Amino acid sequence: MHVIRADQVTKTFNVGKQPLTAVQDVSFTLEPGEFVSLIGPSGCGKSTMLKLIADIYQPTSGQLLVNGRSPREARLNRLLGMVFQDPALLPWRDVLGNVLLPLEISGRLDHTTRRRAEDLLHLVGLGDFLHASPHQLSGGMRQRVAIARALVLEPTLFLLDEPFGALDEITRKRMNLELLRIWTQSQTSALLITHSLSEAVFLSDRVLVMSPRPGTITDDIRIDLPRPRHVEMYREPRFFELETRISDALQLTAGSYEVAHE
Amino acid sequence: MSNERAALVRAGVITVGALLGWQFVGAPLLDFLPAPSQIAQVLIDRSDSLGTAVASTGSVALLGFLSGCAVAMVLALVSLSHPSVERFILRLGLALYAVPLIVVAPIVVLWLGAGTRPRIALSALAVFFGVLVNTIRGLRSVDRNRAEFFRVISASRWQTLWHLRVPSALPYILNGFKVGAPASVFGAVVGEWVGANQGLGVVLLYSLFQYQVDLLWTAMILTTLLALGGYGLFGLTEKFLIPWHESVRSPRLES
Repeated sequence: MHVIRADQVTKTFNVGKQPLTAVQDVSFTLEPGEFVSLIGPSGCGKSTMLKLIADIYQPTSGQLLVNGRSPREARLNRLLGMVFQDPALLPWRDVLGNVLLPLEISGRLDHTTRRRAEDLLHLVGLGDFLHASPHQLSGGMRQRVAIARALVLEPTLFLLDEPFGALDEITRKRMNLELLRIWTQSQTSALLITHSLSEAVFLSDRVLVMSPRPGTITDDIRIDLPRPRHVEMYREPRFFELETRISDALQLTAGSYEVAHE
Repeated sequence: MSNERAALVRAGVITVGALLGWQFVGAPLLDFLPAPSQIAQVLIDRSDSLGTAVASTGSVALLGFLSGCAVAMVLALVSLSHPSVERFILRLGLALYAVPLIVVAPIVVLWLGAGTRPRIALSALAVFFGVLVNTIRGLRSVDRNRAEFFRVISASRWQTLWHLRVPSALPYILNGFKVGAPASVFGAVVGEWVGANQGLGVVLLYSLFQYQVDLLWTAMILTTLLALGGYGLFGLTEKFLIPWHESVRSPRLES
């Protein structure tokens, strides 16, 4: 069974009187345990695609299945863990309180799960900050809290919407390593939205390339770097080849986009 | 720390300077302006009756404040049910607020009779609209990402209300309380003007008709302090209730 199965998914928004197609005929699958990135320029509908999977939006046409069920059922069964670009923590709760929130909401808070929340915070390197306020943390630390919060219900599918987009390059690379470590331990499937080539190559098993409006998938690139991944891989020729491959795929679609407008 | 100390010293110097200016320049030059020393004398001479008046007005204002806030907050919650309900409630609130309190006062007294009930009602009426508008706006001011996160974890309507909407609204609600506290005193005094046998409003009217200018000023100052006290109280609670909010924790911008 696929974790995600998208079949000709289209989403049209009504902006004023003019319909705007954000995502058109998107088809792809995501297998259990896979890490897949969705890469594309700003405004190509990547986030929309993620929000369709998370049942924040509903598709206009096409079929979308998460673990063989509708996105709504998947959401109600709490199969999803989501991290946004903005950590969106609750400032009136401390770090641990933020991670406990999904447990409270789902009625699963007990000694075991409380322990799990604390373990997760240790895992993301925030063991000493359980009772700190979100506003006392740096951007990277806040995003780690958001990651722990998303994983505390042990989701089947981990959705990441440009989680490190607001961070500087150095912090971002460090967070990529951490994410990889956490994801390996959690054994979930992951879909990452990004516009960073190196991030996509470093983390993924596959990279889906999206073209701008209306967003559609133009390429599906397998990343054949062995796992576990390590920082030395950034320097390997194969890494550059894959990066160039994605870059070409993006440039090609961008070129045809401009031609279409002339 | 030394900044706060300097501000305190500055405030002290200004207050003492103003009092001295009032005592030795303002009061001798202007008619119907008693000197601070005269006001202090009135406070001492009439401490019993003024104390009773402050307690009476204060308790009416407190009850009016509480009931005005309670009604406003219940209506704000009801307004969440549908945009058309919100529009209706806001228009009704505005209509009530737009009628001058001094005009409504006799009607309220006719309806509720003498005693403290009409005073509490008028005080509540003065408080109600500000709290309503602020609470509604607060409940609507939920960060979009946070709302989407609550959807992803399938929080129920009530869970979202309690864990997200209400805390998000708290800075706005406290703002409503801050504006409402002085208004509750104003409403209580208006009620006392129309029909009451005690309270600061009664002292104000009595001293006016008796040409007791120093008593009039004293009552006016006491009323002002009561109103400011209510405002200050909520200013202080902000530090404890919403320490996470930008308005409380951000450093003051230097110009």
